[in-house]
Amino acid sequence: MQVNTVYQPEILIQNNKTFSDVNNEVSVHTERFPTFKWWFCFLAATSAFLLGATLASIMFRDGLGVLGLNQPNGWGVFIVNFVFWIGIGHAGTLISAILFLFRQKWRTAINRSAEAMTIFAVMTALIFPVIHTGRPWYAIFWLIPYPNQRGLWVNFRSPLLWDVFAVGTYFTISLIFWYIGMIPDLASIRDRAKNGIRKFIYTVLSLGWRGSNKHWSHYEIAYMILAGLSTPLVLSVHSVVSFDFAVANLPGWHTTIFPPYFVAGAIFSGFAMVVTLLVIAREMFNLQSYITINHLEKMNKIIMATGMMVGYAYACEFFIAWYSGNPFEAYAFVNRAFGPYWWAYWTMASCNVLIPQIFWFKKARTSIPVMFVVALFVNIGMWFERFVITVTSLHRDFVPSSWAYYVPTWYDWGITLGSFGWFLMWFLLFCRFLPVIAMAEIKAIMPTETPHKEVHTNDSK
Amino acid sequence: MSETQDDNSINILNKDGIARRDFLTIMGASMALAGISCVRRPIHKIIPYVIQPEEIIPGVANWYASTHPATGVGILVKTREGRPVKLEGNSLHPLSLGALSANIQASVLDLYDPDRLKTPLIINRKTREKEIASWDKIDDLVTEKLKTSKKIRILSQALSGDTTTRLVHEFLNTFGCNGNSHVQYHPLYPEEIVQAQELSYKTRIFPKYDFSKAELVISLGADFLATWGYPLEQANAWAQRRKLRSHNHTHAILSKLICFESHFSLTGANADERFCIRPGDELKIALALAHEIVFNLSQKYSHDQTVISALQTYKPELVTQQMGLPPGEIKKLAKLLWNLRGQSLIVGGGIASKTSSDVALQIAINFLNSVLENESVTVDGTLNPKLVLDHGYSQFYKLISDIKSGKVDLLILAHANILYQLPALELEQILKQVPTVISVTDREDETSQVADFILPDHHYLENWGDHHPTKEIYSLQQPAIAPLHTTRSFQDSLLVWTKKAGLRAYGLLGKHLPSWYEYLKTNWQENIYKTHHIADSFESFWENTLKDGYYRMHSKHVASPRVFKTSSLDHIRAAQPINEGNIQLMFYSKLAMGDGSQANNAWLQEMPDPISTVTWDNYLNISPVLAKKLQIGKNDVVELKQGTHSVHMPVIIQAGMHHSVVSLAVGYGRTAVGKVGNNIGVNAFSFVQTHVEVRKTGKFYKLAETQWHHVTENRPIINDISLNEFRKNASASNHTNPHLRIEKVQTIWPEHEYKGPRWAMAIDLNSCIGCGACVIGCQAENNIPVVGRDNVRVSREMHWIRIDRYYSGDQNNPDVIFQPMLCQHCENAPCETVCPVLATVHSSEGLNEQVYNRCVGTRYCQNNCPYKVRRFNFFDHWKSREETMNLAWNPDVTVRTRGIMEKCTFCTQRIREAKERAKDLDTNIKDGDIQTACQQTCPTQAIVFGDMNDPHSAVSKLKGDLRAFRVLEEVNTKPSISYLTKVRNKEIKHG
Amino acid sequence: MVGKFLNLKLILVLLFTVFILVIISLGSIFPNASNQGYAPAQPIAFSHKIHAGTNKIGCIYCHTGAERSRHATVPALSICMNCHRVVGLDKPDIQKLLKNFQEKRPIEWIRVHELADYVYFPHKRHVKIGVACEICHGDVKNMDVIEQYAPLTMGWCIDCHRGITTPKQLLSRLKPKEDHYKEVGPTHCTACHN
Repeated sequence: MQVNTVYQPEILIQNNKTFSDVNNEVSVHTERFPTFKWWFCFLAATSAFLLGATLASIMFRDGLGVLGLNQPNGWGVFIVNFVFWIGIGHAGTLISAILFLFRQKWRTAINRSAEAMTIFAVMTALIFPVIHTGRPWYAIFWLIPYPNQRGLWVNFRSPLLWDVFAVGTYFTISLIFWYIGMIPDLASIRDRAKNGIRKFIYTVLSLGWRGSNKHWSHYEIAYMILAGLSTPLVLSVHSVVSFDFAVANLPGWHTTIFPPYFVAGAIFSGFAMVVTLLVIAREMFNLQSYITINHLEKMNKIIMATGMMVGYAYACEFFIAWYSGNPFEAYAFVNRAFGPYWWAYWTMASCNVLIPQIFWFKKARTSIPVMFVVALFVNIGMWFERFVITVTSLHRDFVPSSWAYYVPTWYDWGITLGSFGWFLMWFLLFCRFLPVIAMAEIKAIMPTETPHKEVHTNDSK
Repeated sequence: MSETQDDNSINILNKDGIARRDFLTIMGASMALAGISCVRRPIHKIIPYVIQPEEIIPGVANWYASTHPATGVGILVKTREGRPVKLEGNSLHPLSLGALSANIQASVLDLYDPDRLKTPLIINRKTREKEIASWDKIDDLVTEKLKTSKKIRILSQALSGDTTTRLVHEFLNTFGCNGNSHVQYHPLYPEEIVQAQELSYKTRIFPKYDFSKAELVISLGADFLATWGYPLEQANAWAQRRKLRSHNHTHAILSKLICFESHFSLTGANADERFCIRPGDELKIALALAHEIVFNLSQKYSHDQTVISALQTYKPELVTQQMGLPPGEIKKLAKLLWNLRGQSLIVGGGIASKTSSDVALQIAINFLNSVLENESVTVDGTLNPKLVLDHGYSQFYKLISDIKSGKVDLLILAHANILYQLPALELEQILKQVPTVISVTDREDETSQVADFILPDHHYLENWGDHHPTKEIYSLQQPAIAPLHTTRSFQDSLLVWTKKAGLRAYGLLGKHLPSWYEYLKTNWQENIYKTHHIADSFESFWENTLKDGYYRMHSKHVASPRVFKTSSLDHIRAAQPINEGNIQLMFYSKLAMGDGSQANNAWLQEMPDPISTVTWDNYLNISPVLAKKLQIGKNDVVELKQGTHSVHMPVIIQAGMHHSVVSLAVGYGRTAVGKVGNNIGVNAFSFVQTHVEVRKTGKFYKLAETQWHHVTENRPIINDISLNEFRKNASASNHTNPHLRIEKVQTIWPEHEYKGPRWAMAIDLNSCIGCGACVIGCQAENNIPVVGRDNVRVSREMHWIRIDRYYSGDQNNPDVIFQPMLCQHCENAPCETVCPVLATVHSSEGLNEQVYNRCVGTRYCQNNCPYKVRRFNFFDHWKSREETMNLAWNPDVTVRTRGIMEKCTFCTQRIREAKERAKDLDTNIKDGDIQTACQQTCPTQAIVFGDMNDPHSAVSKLKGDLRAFRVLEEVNTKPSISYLTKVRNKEIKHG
Repeated sequence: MVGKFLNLKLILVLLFTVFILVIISLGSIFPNASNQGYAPAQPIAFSHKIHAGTNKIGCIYCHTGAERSRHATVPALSICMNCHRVVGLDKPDIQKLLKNFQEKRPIEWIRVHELADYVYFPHKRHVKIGVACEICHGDVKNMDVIEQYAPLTMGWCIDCHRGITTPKQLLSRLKPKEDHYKEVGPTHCTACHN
């Protein structure tokens, strides 16, 4: 077989799309009345959210007793959800910021929706620290460090405070980065818009963008700076979230591996969620030619890589527990795998480490049903990983006389379902009103753009 | 007392509808819903007295000395603004010595029980409908009936005190009945001990068993640390011989306790050696011991024919083999007793032994105590024995037969709940034959259903009275509050009825004294003041006795040993053999619930049982061996069948039970006691203590246990060593992985420095008997709410101090160690670093402070506390107190709403009170001035609190003791509480 | 059409008003903690000016608790009756007082100075250390209707305990010059919250 030594630039946008195709196919969804499929998903998501909201309001009225929490298990499903949703967010920032700095062209197809997913995931995550105190009107009142007549500040040594700053910064920077990146696209939609209201809204949103040379140079500089700012966030925010556990002295929490372990887990579950959402969005908004199998394959590779990192972390935890000779740690990990919550541990281990191994085979990496199923399992596995960390260490720690089981109640599951509803509701609204793909960046890498025309003739076979 | 007590404390609640404590909730809610309008705080009123009572200063507590009638224990009643809020032991009173048991501490809540009967009722016999009547109407009707009925009988449960008995006798004589128509019946009364004493020494008394002089104690089924006899006094005395100091540890002496029992009791858990026997076998062991001593050791009775014939058949080897004890055990024990004669003590009996051979057992024990020359040393029957009810069960059964034969026209039931205690006798039909039945009770209980008049009695804190518990002690009971409801004391009723009847009244009644208080005072003047010819005037004698709470008659003569009447040994018939095959049922009374009269007390219902840590229910205790045989697992429901009577009940697999015995607690299964106590558990009285069938029903019932894991998993939490190990090395400690015993643990954080005092505590695991008095004392002092059975089931109980009970050693007969676990007030407190709002901070005096109004409820501190001593308000538990129960709050301690974390604060309100008292007198705080609530009520003084910076304080000495250790030392939290290793007087096999 | 009408200035004005509305609503959600200036009408128009001012009756005469307990207590009717059994019987308010006393019904004064349930403020300690009543309650001798003079908020108390706003004669006595770390009063939490 003749080895083709000439450098072939990768084909990212298939089916010879032109600039007008991009404009039409991406912004058409913001102009048409949404399809029945969209309405069905949207109503399902909203009803799930309303269910969660009513259960939460009953909880505010009666007290946290309706949940499954009890004496040793101070934290339960709510904190698991908090860490889970923050973890989901990290992939979006990685795709849009770090891959931008690495000049990975393939990110342009998925960075807008991934970044949107980050913002909605963080919005979902922020619900839980507020409602898990049971009296949110009281919690916010004290948790924010504002000068007050009592002369009392918050406790800056507490990891929960670090969370407030870390997640707060992460949310604001991601929002700005996402919005700035979208201004050129909003402007192009504004120009296509006909009737008054939509035109007025998009006009306000696009902040008077005219696509002039000065605008573009400011845009490029701003985008670069924000990408630079977002990159350290990907690593620091989930490390701070892991400090909630690592700083505590519980056996099974107090380990130094937590920060990298949580960041790897975050990227792992984040990419799985991106794959899950884009596989559906790709069909629903027929963007197959922009978000190609090639993109999904690259993401699957990342999923498998981070999956094995997480697997390494599990093994490392067990080794250190044995190696440290500290009987509390040893017992905590043996109890984690073989104690009353063995089922949660083995679900986690199999979903996170074994199932992604299927991606070694190219056929699996590129087949839509396989990757969708694996992505779902990864997210289930990652939810259980946080569940295992939180609950197994809490329900059996130092003093055996206060060991007790934690059983989540319908309120726990209801409000968790509500959080998924809330997340999907926002994501569907985003898909309805805002361009799912960054049109400006896609146009930048489209083949018709490059001068050497003939190079691309042979790909059409 | 102010004559126009206008109860302003109550009407504050109802008039403006919102109690002051709702202010916080309103402010919280208003913050959320304030919206735009600018809201000023709700209008509150401040309502002063009309006439200022001179002894009440709002904000300052008044203390009154009184007596707990059922036990004769002297108490101090702390009242704030005219209402009792806390009871504490009277340190002068010999039966209390400053401590109180759990059920006495909880009796302050009974005063405010909303289910108390508030007004007298007349019941129409046919239609059973109730009519609320005034006292005058009742008095007219009752005196009417009294005059017409010839034979009047009074049945009471525990009416004690010379003056009351005298009043009852005079009342009965006035209406033409003689003295013995007043009968007393109490289901748990140690009747057999009194009968045996009468047979052996011709005196009807309950001897004073002085455990403080006993080097060796053998208990044959007597739970003397919890429910048998006078537990407070006995626990205090026993613990005095268990205290060890390590400076003379090489030849330390420690008393030894050996228990023979079939059910796992609190005393058995504290025993050095414990043997499982079937109920009824105690007699054989006592006689075998006697046989060994008489035939081989002592010469005293070796030629006495009656003794020899009685003990002939009980050879020690035969009995040892029959009981399955280790070979030669009884011989060894008899030798030990003989060597320690004059310093040993044998006690026995209790509810379990209330079978045919119970008197015989007591006679055997009396004989043993006499042979071992314990008389007048550890057994005092002459100087200051306990006085007892004048007649027992025989009188009661005679009364029942009289009623059956229609010889009784009018029956007065004074707090006698016989329908609940004797369901088998179908008393409901029998009592119908009595034309008029008057029931004097504190609530509409089971027995008052059959009564024609239900008359509400005062709670003992609302009533006068006197008690004569032991020969030398006359204890006074004075009211600490004006009656809350339109109740009237039983004694006042008798006085009113005699006055209204207008017949020729006997004795003091003739003087037609205006009230029971006057009657009491006159009787004291005539009987006690005159006969003991006291120096100063009666008035000052009366005031002083009221101040001290009791008067002690100083008897001139010394305790003289009594001579044992050997003829009483004839009563010991050969006990009939119990066939091995079937299962034997036995009763026991729980420390908190006793005979069930306080069943509506939420604190006692929620107090974890010392051994099984179960709350809110009684249950069938089954040994692991028997449970495996009947395939009964945890949370199973079994059917207990005895003849035709069968009941379903939950099960506890209890290690330490005899393999063919099941036990059930009395005092439960009450049907008419109030919202809290109704239908909780199963009525044990409906059974008889003989063989029974147990069958698995396949249903499940989860008992509300507070401790789900019973072993320490070899972690550095407790240390128990044997006496020899202690003698070799006082700071020996076992049960811990050597890797974890790091001596000096480094820390990178700067130490807190303490210029003033540094509060700390030392708990002696050798003295702690696990009785739980501290749990209820703390609950009363610190407004700790009750959460109910469902919340305890999911482990959300709120007690700030819990007694952890760890098993170790042999599976079927485990060693037990009780460890009171409360906030350790750590130096490096893990909770302080993680609380996001600084709701828990370290004070300049070593306290870990919990600020309730600052806590938002993230519960991170609870997760990070290695001792898990923090409690979270999952619901608004404080709302479980309705109506009058809101008067029981301690006004010095904030009541916590939901969403707030709380924990032991080392009673900051008591520390602050002592500091303020010292500031007033310009002195500094002496060691012992401050007593935490748990330390104050502990019968064995196991808990010592004080200033660690003062080297001469008791707590510093204890913390410096070589036995002192700290829990989870290597987690480096540096707790302020040191525990002292438990030393067992036996050989321990570690591992 | 719509675009022309909306120029930048109008948008800015709109945004600014929305911002102000939010601040106001936030302000009202968190009401001012202090109740300063609160002077409600009382059931009986009792004037401290007459009693404490002109007649110079000492505070402790009526508020007996101030020297003996944490509560200064409003006087019982029997204390009023010490004088008003004879003094000023013609005045309607005093007749109302007499009627209440005869019927044994207490007067329901409206509470002016009120701290939250979770605060422990001992009058006795402050009176004994020499804090004059006027410092916290203002110039009561000249008040016809009692008004809350001081904010009585935590910050206000803490400043006095830390020696920032402590009256001069107290400061010199309680806090020696050289040891500026020493506090005038305790500031650890369980001094007032337990």
